[in-house]
Amino acid sequence: MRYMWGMLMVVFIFATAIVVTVVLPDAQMLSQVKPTPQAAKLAKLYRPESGWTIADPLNTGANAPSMVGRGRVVFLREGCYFCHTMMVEQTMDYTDYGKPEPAGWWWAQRPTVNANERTGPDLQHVGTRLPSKMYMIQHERYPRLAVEPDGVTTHAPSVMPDFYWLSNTDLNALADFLRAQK
Amino acid sequence: MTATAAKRELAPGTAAKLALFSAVLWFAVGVTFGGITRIKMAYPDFLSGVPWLTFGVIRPTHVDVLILGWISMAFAGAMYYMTPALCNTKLWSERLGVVNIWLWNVGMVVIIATFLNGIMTGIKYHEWIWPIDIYIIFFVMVPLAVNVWMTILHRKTKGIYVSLWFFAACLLMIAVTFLLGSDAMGWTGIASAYMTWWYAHNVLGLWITPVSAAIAYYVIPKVTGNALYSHRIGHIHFWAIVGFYSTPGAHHLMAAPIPEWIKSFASVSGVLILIPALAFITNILLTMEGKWHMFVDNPVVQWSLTGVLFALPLNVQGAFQQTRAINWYIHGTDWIVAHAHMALLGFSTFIEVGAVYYALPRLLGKPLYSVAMARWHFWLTALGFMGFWTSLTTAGLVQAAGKAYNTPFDTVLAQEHPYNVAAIFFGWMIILATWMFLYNMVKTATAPVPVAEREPAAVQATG
Repeated sequence: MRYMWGMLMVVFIFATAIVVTVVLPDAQMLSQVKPTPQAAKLAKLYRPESGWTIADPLNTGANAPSMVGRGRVVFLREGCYFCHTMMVEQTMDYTDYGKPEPAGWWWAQRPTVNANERTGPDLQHVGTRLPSKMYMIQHERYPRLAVEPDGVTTHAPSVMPDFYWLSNTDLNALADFLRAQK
Repeated sequence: MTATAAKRELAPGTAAKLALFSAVLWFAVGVTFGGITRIKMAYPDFLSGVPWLTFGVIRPTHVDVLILGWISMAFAGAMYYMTPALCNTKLWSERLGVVNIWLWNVGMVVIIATFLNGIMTGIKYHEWIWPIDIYIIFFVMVPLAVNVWMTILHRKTKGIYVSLWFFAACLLMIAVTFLLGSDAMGWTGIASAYMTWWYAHNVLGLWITPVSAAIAYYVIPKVTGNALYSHRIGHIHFWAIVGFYSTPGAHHLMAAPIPEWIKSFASVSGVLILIPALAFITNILLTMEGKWHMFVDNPVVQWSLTGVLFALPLNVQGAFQQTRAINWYIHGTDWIVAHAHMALLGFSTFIEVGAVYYALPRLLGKPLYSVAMARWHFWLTALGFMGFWTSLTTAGLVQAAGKAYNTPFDTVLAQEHPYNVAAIFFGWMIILATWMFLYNMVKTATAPVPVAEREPAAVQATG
């Protein structure tokens, strides 16, 4: 009987922890966060559910309503988020990557990939920093060889994988997705 | 096969044996994937152009194979071995245990196959797609939990030892955590990012850390012959884990626009984790009293105790690096990767390897094939890990300084390159040792034993 009380105590403490750390903050985030104008626009371009679906078992993005949405599927499928954050984090970042964004910037994204490792540069405002689609595709294909639009800068020490083997549609879609991140 | 033969009971320990062997196999597979990602971090053109070996797909394979295939399956093996022993009875259903582990192995093959083809959700540590979530809940978690709980309910002992408290409670809490973090829950927006980390950190807090500790609570007293120093401190450890370690997920998002109060809450409970951690370390180290020579003499104690000792820097580092004062500097760098390896490789894996060295020869009724190989395994892994941790921590500090002083990214990458090369060397030391471990265990199982040595005494002598 003593142990039954112990087990109930575990359930009670854990349930309290779930109320405090899951129910309360998520209720606050889901009810109070309103989309930024860009997030509202992008939500229409992504699939409503960007995760894996039965309709697209191989994660091709073929059912996405737009190239931008398809690019997001490629971004998730190739695991880009393991090295690139999608979140400007602190003061120093503001000069390199642009302004910080309110929570509504990620509105309706599923899943939201924003805060992992930063082996590569942050991509939250990459569309503003690097608007050239031609450079974007070249850089996706051969990151160490691509020449930036200034005609001089290359990134020889980059450790990004080559994606020259992706289909042209995927490369285009990924470039469109990145250029939409403003 | 006749009907009676089909109903024949499996020998006690079959499920534990199968689980521990499968776990060691996944360990070797998992670290090898990790070794490839390490080479790619320094030399990105290595194996370039092979879609199923790009960094982005083998990194989650490395992590998830080791968490679900090695650590969790070794936990299952330890539970199948230790629960009946501590309850002084048989496992509730040996057959269910065997089926559980085979379904688990099938699941691992499916996970690796889907990951390498890029079929992933994009949720960290939960990259498997939601049908696999359902598979894991019904064929991996539920059978394991039911078996352990039913064994405890049918126990022939009066009290419940502290290890069993952890086993029973963690199986419940990890199932709920897993479900809430699943893609099937459909979290969106910033709540999705928060739930990813709530889930990811609770896997460590409510599963990996406490169950590793529970295994040490069994192995160390058993091998040294000393009684656990204090059952009361064990209880403080247990309740502090349940109370403080189910809440700190938000510390991964210190710079994200999530509610400030949840960040503060997470940060405070993150420091409070020092309470269970220090209770655990103190309890085990005091249990060693008078038996410290076994730290050198005995491979099982050597592995387990090294794991326990790594828990000290791990928890001190963890408690303070997640506070705002430090987090802004090292967040997102290789420092964190080093810390994660301290938790999963330094602390948890060392304790589980100790448990495998303890349990497998006893389950097989044979002495260890090669004690020398076990020594090589230990030193290659221990020195490899320390070198690996040091290189990655240094690389992380280079990245952090680059971040703080707005250094161009290319400069930072060039500066951290030597440390990434060093990490390859140390990482492959660990991989070599792990395959040696697998070989040693396979040889232990298959080697013929002279009749004269088929005595429990010969088993005792090895470990």
